[in-house]
Amino acid sequence: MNRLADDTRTSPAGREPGTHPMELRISWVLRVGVTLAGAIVLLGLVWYFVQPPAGGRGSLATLQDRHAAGIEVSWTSIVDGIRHGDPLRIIELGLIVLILTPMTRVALTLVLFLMDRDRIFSLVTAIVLAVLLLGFLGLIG
Amino acid sequence: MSITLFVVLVFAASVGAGLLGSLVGLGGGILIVPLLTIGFGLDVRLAIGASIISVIATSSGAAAAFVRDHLTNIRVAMFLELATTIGAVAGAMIAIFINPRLLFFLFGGILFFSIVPMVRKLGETAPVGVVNDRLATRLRLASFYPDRISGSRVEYQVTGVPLGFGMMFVAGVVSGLLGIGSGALKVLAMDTAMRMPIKVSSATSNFMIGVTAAASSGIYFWHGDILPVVAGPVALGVLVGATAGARLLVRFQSDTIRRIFIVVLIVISIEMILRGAGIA
Repeated sequence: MNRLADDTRTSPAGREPGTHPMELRISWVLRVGVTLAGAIVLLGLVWYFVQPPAGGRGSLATLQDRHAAGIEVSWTSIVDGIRHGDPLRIIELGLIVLILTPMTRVALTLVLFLMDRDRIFSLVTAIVLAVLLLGFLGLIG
Repeated sequence: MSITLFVVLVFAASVGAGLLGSLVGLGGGILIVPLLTIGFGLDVRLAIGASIISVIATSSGAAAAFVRDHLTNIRVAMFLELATTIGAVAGAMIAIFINPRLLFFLFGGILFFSIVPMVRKLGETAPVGVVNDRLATRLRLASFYPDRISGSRVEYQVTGVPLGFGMMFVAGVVSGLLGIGSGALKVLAMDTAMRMPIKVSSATSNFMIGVTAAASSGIYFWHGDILPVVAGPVALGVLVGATAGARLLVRFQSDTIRRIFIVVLIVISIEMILRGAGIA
C-alpha cells in the first residue's frame, strides 16, 4: 500500500479525502506537539508570574543588557533549572518541544516512506532529518 | 517597561500576527520582527530568535488542520524541504558575516516585481492546462484537493520543479538569515514556478515553514538569542492566532486569500525596501 502518493492510491468508499490515515497521523503529531509545547510554555509563564525569581522580574532594559553581554545556554543549565522548578527553564523546555515537533513529523514521514520502500523519498527525508538534528544538537553554526 | 507589561502586550500583539500569518500562508515572523524591533525597541537578534520560534508555532498549528483537510501536498513539501533546510542552516551561518540590509533590500525588490503577475491572475481559481514535468512525474508529485465550495475533487499536476527547488533554497537562506518563515517566497515558488493551486500552495508552504524554521532555530537557541520571556509569549500568542486562522481559511474563496496576500506582499516589500535603504 502506498501511503504517500495520491495518484496511485484508491480512496475507500464512504471516506472523505481528509481521513487518509497517513495524513491523520501527521496531523496528530503536529497537534499533540504544539499543544504540549503550548501547555508547558503557559505553565512556565504562569509560574513565572506567581513566583517571581529572587531579585524580582526586572525590566526590559536590564534583560537587554544581559543579552548584549552574552547568555550561556547549555543542556546542563536547562536540566538543573527544571529540577529546581525554575520557571524560565520550564518555558525553555516548552520551546524545545516546539522545535522538536516538526522534527518528529519528519521522522514519522521517514518511517512511512521506508515502509513504502520509496527509496528516493526515504533518502530525501533522511537528509532533511540529519540537517535538522545537527542544528538541534548545536553541532553546526 | 516592566517584564510583566511586556509579556502581556507581546502576547496580545502576537495573537493578531498569528491570525493574519496563517490566513495568507506567511510564517507570522514577518510581522513579529518589526513588532519587536520597532514596536518594543528590542535588539534585532532577540527579535529574530523569538520570531523563528513563532514561525514553528504558526506553521505546526495551522499545518495540522490543513493536512487533515488534504490541502497539503506532503510529497512536494518533503522534496522541497531538502532545499529549504540546507538553505536555512546556510542562512543562519552567514547571518554572522553579511549585512542583512542588503538582503532586505533585494528581497523587498524581488517581492515587489512578483506582485504584477499575481494581480493579473486574480480571477483564476485554479491554474489550467498544467502538465507534470519530468521530475514531477518521477517523484509522483501530482495530487488533488477537496474544494469546499463545489464539494468536488480538484485534480492538479505540477511543473517547473527545478526552478521551484532553486527558489526554495533561496527561501531557506532568507528564513535562516532573517528569522522569518519565508512563506511569501514559498507560495510564490509553488504558485508562479510550479503552477500549483493557490490553496495547495498556501497549505504546503505552511507545512514546510515549521521544518525550515526548526533547521535554523537550534543555531539561534544555542547562541542565547531565544529568551523565554520574549519567545514564550510570542509563541503562545501566535499559536492562538494561527489556530483560529486555520479554521477560517477553508471557508474563504481563493480570490479572497489572494487579495489579502497581494496587499500583505505590497506592505512587506515596501517595509523591506525602506529597511534595506536604512530609512525605516
